[in-house]
Order: sequence, then structure tokens, then C-alpha cells
Amino acid sequence: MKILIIDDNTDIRMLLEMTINAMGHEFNSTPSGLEGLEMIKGEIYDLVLLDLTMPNFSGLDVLNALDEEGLCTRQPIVLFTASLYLSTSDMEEKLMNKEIHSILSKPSDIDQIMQKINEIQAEYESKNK
Amino acid sequence: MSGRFEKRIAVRKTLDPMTRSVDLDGRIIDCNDKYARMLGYMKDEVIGMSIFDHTPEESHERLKTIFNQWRRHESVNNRRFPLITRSGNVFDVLITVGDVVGSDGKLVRSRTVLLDYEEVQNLQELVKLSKYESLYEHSPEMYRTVNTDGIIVHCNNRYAEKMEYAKSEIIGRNLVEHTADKSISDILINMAQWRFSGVCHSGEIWMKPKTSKEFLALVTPTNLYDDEGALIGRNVVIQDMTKMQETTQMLEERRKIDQMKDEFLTGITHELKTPLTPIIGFSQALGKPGMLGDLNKRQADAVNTILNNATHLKQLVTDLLDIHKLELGRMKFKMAEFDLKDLLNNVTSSIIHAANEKNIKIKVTSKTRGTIVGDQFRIAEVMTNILYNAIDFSPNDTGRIEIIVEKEDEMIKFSIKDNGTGIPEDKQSELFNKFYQIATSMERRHGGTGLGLSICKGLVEGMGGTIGVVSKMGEGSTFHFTINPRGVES
Repeated sequence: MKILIIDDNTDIRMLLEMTINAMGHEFNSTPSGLEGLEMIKGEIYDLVLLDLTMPNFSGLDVLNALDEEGLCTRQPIVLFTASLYLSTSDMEEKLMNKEIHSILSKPSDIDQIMQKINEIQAEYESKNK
Repeated sequence: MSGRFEKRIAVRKTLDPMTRSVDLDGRIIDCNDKYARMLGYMKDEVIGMSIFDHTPEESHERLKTIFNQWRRHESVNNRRFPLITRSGNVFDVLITVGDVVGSDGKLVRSRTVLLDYEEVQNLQELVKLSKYESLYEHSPEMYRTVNTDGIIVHCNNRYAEKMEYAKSEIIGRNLVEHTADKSISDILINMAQWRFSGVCHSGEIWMKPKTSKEFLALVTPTNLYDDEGALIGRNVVIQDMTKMQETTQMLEERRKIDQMKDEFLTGITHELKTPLTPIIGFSQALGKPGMLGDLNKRQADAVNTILNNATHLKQLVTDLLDIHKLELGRMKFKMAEFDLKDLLNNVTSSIIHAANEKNIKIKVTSKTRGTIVGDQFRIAEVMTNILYNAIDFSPNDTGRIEIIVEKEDEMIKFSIKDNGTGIPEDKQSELFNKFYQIATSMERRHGGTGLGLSICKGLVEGMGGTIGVVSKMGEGSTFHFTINPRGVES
């Protein structure tokens, strides 16, 4: 599978890259939401791991932009975020109508990350059979 | 007698004050209808008359004194004084003289208010006759009595004291004079509605004492009627709201500080979670064979210790956020229909590993089946939490845990029964408090944060149920909680 990582935190990006690499998948990664959006438009990924809180162009902005072009469902998008618990953000409500695959909440351990990727791979394989 | 008769009718019908305006020579240049009527004239006839024409001869000297006082800008307040009608009847009024000043600052004419002394007395009598007189006079609250025109005809000591006037300076004044500018329109509207409908509305107005700062007051009126049931005035209790206003302000400030604290706590916990992800992730990666190269035993132990502690910290952060959300009532439950069987399967499979490690048997007794509406994830969280406790406190090999699901009234009841050490009776009620851990010295495999049961309590109550424990030392414990199977709005 080819996976896109969008996260502004270098350490978390490195962790995800390492895990994905160890699992034998390909990946691209970017710290910028805007750049990530362009990459999704330019190429069909098998999975997008998207951080929610990023400066300038947030994960929600990415989702909104994809929504406008009807690109949300072209590939599974998994939100990788710690913000769901941010009571002031009402993030849950904002995400209500977004067509995302699922949410992986930080801090997740790599077993959870690997489990999520395997789950998506299983769906990917059954679809491409 | 016709003047007197006219006057009595007038009392019944209206309690308008009489007004007249007098120039510097004592000539009446304007008056209201009531003034003319009370004296037995037409208004046109009054204009141009001298005030001495309306004063009995024996009082002319006193009138001169009052008149000169006024021309010297001395105040004339509620001076009791006689008037004489066209037909020669004499009656007393309370005279209060106001000034109309020209642009040069010089006195141009008076604006005189004359209150029928008998009317004032009637109202005062009415107040005095009431069994509340003593309460009125000596109340720690302010009381004033006004006629239908808003003229203050009586007040208690407290009112005079708070408004910083002598009682004699107050009687005969329009209540507008004791009202702060910002409340004058309110009180005029209130008075107009009251006169029209007879209904008294209580409300808040700003009072204006003679020199002190204006203060907010709660004004509660009660109607006064004469013998024949005609509305003649109102008794008003006036409560200084300054204290309450200060309290409200203080509470508001405290609420803001609390809100800042809440936001800070939510923010800081969120910030704590971000660095935890790479800490936990990389420690795990180091421990995985082949991922980042192999570690020797001491290195592996060290990394494992980092991981255990980071995991504990993660749990603590998550628990703190949950507690915080529960306390603020911001916990959102996701209600959906689910099968009880799925819930029980998920829960048992998540704890079976821990139970197997201690060779503890888990038994599930389902006395009710089917689907219910609820937040499956949160219900599972409560069950797992209690189950981990049960595993921690149950003996190796002989430990037995039973999960029982049954209907109780309209609720679904979950019970988790263990044969562990049991909980002393005096500790049972404290169990659900924050940071309470029984036997903290005991080694806890599943590293409770001390928040688990208080979160369970919050979650269960948030889902419309109750939680409790039955336990006897040496005989194990049964934790039980109920859930509304029709869900709750969140």
C-alpha cells in the first residue's frame, strides 16, 4: 500500500514513517496541510493519515477542501489526533458530517497504529480481489 | 359648601396634585385644571389672579414670608398652608415651591406643587391603620407610600436615612426626584401602566440619594385602596441590591476564573498527549525484535520501564481529561443500538489475557438478551475498569469472577462479582472518590490511576444509572451498575 502522512510534528512523523516502513508499505510524508492536500489531489493513496491540529492549514481545512471536490471518499482517511478531547473545540461536531474512515486518537501506541493499517489493508485487499 | 363638596368628589376621582406657576409679583401665570376646580374657578379665571386671592386673609403675612423666601432662593418644602375657595371654604395644602430660572440664571417664575393635606393624611392614615404600621416604620428595608401621581406621601425612617433627606423634605416630592436618570423612563412607564391597569409590577430601579452614589434597588409595590375600593396609591418596599449586585459580580468573576482554569487544564492535558505519542511509540519500537535492532537484556529492561511509565502517564492524562469533562458536564455519549452479546464479547476478550495470566476464571451469566440503546464504548470502559480491579484483587489460580447481566425495573443491571480480598465497610463509600485507592501499597498490575472508579461513577450517572458496591472482608466484592436501555440525551 502507499500511505500519505500529514502531521506537523516531526517526531510523530518519524514514528509513523518508521512503523509503516517496518510493515513494508510505501509512504510519502509532509508537515504541511496545504502540501498534503495537493499531494492527495495529485495521486491516489491507499491511506491518508491526517493530523487535525496543524498551523495555518489544519486537518479540518484539508477535509473541507477535499469535501468540496468530492475527494474525501476516494481513499480512506484516518484522523490521527489528540484534539478530540479538547472540550473547547467542539471538534467532534465539526467532524460529524465528514466522510472519514476512522479516528485514531493520540497518544496511540504503535500496536494500535499497526492494527489500524492492517485493518485498512484487509479492506483494500478484499476490495481489489 | 360647594367647594368642599367639589373637593371630596375630586379625592375620590383622582389624586392629581394641584400645580400653579407664579411670577415674581405673585401673579398666577399658569395652573392645572385641578387647581382651578378645587378653588371653584374656571382655569381661565385663575390666570392673572394673585396668590393672595387664594389665601385666607389671616394667612397673608405668612404667605408674604414664604413668597419672599422663595424669591431669595430659599427652599420651600411641604409647608402646610391654607387655601380659600371662591365660596369662602378654607382647606389646607402642603406647598412645595420649585424654581424656573431664565437663561441668565435669574428666577423667572415658580413651579408650585400643592398637595391636598387631607388626601395626604388619608393615605398616611391608611398606612398607619394597617397592621403593618410598625413593620413599615421600623423595617430595616426602605418603605415609601406614593399616590397615583407618584407623589411621595409617606416614608419610613430607613427610607429617609438612605435617601439622606429629612422626612419633611421627602413628603410631597415626586418619586422621580429620588430616581436616577437612567431609571426615570422605567419608573414613568411603570407608573403609567399601574395607573391604567391597577396592576403593580415589581422591578429594579436605580435610586438617587441626596449625595451618595446611586444604588440599584428592588422595588415591590402593594396597592392601597380607599373605603370605596378606589385605587389611591401604593406602598412600596425598596430593597438595596448593592450587596446582591456585588455578590453577583463576584460570582461572575469567579466563574470566569473557573472557566480559565478549565480551559488551562484542558489545554495542558492536550499538550501533554502530543509528546507522549513518540515516547510510547519509540519505546515500543525499540522493544520489537527487528524493528530498530536488537537490545541486550539490560537495555530492553530499561526501555520497558520507560514504556510502562509512559503508558501510565498516558492513562493518567486520559483519565484526567475524562474526569474534567464529566465534572463540566461536557462528556458526550454516542447513543446507538447494540447487542448486549457483542458488548460482553468485546469486554471479555479485552480482559481475558490479564485473567489468564493469573489463571482466574471468568464466567458470564446473561439473564437478559437482545439489543439496547447506549454508548457501548463507555459501558465497556466501565466494565473493563471494574474487571481489571477484580483481577488485581483476586488471588492467583483460585480467583473467580462472574459477570451478571439482568433486567432490574426499567434498567439493565451489570454486576461484577469477585472472590477477592473484599473491601472494608468504612472504605466502601470512599471508593468512588477521586484519587482514592484502597491498599495503595499493594502491587497493582494494571496500574490504576486512582481515577478509575470515580470516572466509572461519572460515566454511569451520565448515562442515567447508578453504581455501587457490596462487599465483605474475606468474601469478595460485587460491583454493580445500571444503565438506561433506552439511552439518554447527551
